[in-house]
Amino acid sequence: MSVISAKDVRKSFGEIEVLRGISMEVEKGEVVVLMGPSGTGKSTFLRTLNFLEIPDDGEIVFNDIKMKNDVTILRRARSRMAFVSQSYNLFPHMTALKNVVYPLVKVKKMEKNEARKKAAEVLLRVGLEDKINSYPGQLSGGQKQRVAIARAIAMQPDLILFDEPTSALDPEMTSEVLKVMKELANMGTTMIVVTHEIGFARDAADRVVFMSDGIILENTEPKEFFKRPKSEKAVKFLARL
Amino acid sequence: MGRILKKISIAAFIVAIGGIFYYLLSLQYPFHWNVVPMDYLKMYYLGLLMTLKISLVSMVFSFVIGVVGGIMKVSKSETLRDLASVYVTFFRNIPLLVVILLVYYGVGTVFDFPRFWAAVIALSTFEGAYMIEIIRAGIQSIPKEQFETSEALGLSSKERFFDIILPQAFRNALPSLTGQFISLVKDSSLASVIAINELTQRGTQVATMALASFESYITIAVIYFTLTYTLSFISSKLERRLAIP
Ligand SMILES: Nc1ncnc2c1ncn2[C@@H]1O[C@H](COP(=O)(O)OP(=O)(O)OP(=O)(O)O)[C@@H](O)[C@H]1O
Ligand SMILES: [Mg+2]
Repeated sequence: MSVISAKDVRKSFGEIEVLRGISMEVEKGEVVVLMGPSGTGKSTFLRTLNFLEIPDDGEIVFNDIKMKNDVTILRRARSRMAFVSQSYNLFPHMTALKNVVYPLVKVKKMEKNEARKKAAEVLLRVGLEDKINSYPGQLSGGQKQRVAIARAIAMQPDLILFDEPTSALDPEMTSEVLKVMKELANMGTTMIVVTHEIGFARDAADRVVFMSDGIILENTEPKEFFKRPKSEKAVKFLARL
Repeated sequence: MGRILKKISIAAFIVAIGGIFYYLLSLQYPFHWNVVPMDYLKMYYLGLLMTLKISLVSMVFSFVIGVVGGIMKVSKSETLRDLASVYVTFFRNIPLLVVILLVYYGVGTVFDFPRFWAAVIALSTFEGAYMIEIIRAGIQSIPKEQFETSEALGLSSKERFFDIILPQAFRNALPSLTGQFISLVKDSSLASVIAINELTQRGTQVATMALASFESYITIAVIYFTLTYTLSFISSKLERRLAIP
């Protein structure tokens, strides 16, 4: 059974149809990398999966929950589906620890002390045990992203969505964040990652999905995709990377 | 250190300019400081109390109006946004003095409430219009990712607003809020037109009784200045304490 499935998802902004019928499924434990040229609708698609963008048409089923714009359903789904984006993921008025503790208490209804223990544990896992009491403003970009990832895994989600988590970072920070993400991948975390990091896609992905102009052109193993891209657009895209 | 030095030099400058003026004036006008304010301290004290009372109560109400209206202004509902806009437009385009008169002689005669409450209602509704814009700006200065992250985490809209948005918006808005509170304290002097015995009214009473207008108005000016300056001092302390590292 798949963790999430999207069927013929469509979304327009005004006159422009950004998603023109996207279908895909992700199995438990799979790591799917989503690639494609800029403005193709990768972020929009990712955001329809947790209903930050409400699709105009099509169907999204997550863990047997048929997603729809309903407070209770969305809260239930989102508590099991984490989202890490490019930047501003953290709440600036809360310490790293509090950033992790807060949703555990509010959304997961965890007891405060238990949540603190859990938060300290996940922050240790991403190598930030000495930054527990720092505010986001006192952390580097890479550290901030690692806190965001720690918060995501603390929620023990069935799926983590990443939208270009390293694209705002310099190379050194990028590698520290990718390292954490690879560890997650190895531990069997189900994730969908929008990224331009070919290295990550090669090493960690089970599948690469290539999107262009609102449709999926390729959906295959990383080796296959990088060696023998079938579509002309993918060939061009890879040549430019 | 630099900041304190700057403050001291500004104060010294004001004192020097004031001193020169005072000297020139005293050649023409015989000041009687031993009479005013010295013989009338009780009057000023009562006036100050009333000014504080009106101001504090109005601050609370205008802040509530500001928060409610500010939220309306950024809400998804067009009706709520329009309602808040009409309110703001209305109060920003009539003078406070007229609002006070309207409330006292108009609404006040219909509903028959004491003049103290007329002043509070007028001040609160009027300053509230400005607070609405300040809170709106404070909310809108928060990156949209903060709203999205809250949503994506599964927070309820109540949690999102009170735990994530409001604490940040309040910090952003604090300097402007202080400015508006200071305006409110100064604007409360207009309540004297409906014969409320606040500081300005008391100042006028003393001026007439003692035949010493200059002394009396200088006295209340100094009191107002001390009051508002204290407010901005407290606010900058608070700002520093609340500052996020
Ligand atoms: N809220 C919105 N309103 C209007 N247009 C939007 C909105 N969000 C996205 N778009 C448009 O939809 C298209 C797809 O955007 P999207 O962000 O999904 O692309 P992307 O593939 O993630 O690109 P990138 O690699 O640059 O992040 C773009 O043309 C963008 O301008
Ligand atoms: Mg994008």
